[in-house]
Amino acid sequence: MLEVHTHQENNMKLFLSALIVLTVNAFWSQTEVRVRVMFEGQEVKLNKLYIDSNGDSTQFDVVKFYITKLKINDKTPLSNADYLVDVENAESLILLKSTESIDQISFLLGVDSTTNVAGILEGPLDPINGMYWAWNSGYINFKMSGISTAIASSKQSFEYHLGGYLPPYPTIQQFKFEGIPSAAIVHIDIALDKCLNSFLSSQVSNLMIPGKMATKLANQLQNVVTISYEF
Amino acid sequence: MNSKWFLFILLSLYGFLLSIRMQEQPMITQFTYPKKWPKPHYNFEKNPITKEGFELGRKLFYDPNLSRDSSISCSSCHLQYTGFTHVDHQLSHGIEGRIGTRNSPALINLAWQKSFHWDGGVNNIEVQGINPITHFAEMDNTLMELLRRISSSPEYKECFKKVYGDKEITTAMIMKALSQFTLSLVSSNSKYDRVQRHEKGIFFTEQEKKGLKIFRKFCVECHREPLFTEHFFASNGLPADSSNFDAGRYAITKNEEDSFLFKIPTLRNVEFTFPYMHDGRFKKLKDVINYYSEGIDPSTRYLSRPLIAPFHFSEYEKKDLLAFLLTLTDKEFLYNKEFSFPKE
Repeated sequence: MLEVHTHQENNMKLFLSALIVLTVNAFWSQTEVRVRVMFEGQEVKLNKLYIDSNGDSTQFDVVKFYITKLKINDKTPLSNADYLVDVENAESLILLKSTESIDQISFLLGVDSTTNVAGILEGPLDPINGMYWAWNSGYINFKMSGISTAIASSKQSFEYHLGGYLPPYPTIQQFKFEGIPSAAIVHIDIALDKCLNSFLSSQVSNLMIPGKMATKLANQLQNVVTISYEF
Repeated sequence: MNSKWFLFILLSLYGFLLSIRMQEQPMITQFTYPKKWPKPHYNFEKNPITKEGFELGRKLFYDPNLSRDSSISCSSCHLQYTGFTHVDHQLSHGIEGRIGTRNSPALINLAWQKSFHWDGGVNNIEVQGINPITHFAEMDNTLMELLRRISSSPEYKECFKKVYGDKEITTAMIMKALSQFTLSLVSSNSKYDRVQRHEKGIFFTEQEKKGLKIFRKFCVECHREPLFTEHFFASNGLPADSSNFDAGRYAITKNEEDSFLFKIPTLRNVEFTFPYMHDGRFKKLKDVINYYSEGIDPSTRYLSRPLIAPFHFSEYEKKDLLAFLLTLTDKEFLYNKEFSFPKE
């Protein structure tokens, strides 16, 4: 008997094999971009005690921040460019999966001034997420609170809401990392131990308004963000 | 016969499809204002006013369910008959009788306003509503709870569908609809406006004319025509209230030069927007005129420059000025049924 292939069957086969090739390809070359919030080399979980090299113990109850205008190889990814990272929500730590090899990555830690005056926004920028000041319109770029024995006060609590976009006190931080090797995961690492130390060295354990101090503390975030790879 | 039926069916189908289309896309209403007025500051492109959106905003504005205990609505502190402000209350009260720190502002011609609140802390009308809804001394609600209440109301679902189609309701939709209502509160039909437009049979009296002259000499620098405000902040030298300390604009900018500066309010419908000033300390318009005439201490720090030399109005001049200010009353606006509580 002769095997008779209809056109449809042939087309279907071609389509399926193409699909398999594409999927396998995509699977192999995929690079994940993740955020890792660290404390002396350990990934931070909320409400867990961490002891630092000075012997001080610290616990975080809120760690939330914006990563916006994310660009891969100088292009805005199709999926999304604005992210609200919340340590409480593990899913929010995975920013994207790229099929393109990543050579360069850039982003803002915080929300830029154009977005701050754009009125009401949706998704990660929805004020319902609790990262917005209504009385002084603007996003809170970085929120971190908890308790630490490194603080002299009786409560030993710290709470930082860093934000503000109006000159002369902007708080947004720009980052760009180049020459990234081909890796399975690119981690954006935020070292909270360094972060808290530098904030406390400014003698401030509580700050919830924009201004000179907010700008000073936000600038210190430049020293706590690094990038690492998993091959 | 057959072809007639065919035509009939075709036409009904067309009509049906058209009605679906109409439902999906609400008609945009042109935002109108007098020809000689400046262009509004608000950008309507991203939030064009539609009849349905305006009506939804109006419903929200008058709905006490916006407040935590469902006791007060926006209109509790912004009453139409008094230019959408709270008369007789120096400081407005929120739920459970909680008292705020400032006099509720009149909601008039907001489409031209660049910032909101007495200190200008709010940069866009779309996000203004978050303040009264979430403030402890006002509605003390949360955005999460507001969204839950609205999303679970079949009545609201229907209204949102008319405006935004089948999409899931979001905070942004609520706030944009609310702004469609508040942006529409345009007052431009006072006697002053009619005289400016040379409408037939409308003239200023001699006293009003004299008042306008005084106004243009002393007041207009800050209360600029035709909106009777200017988009900056100024100190009129009011002594700080030790029991209700308020540094005004400084709280927002942290710039010392902005200490005790407050937003210049519009004078439209000023006859009805009493009490006056950011803390409502003056009950009568007469008191305000007296204060500007001879009540200001010229040595007050940060005092606005046009107020440094005392005005010293005569008693006649005060009456003339008052007569002019009353020409800014716009009864059509204050009694416009389209802006009042939606009855149906």
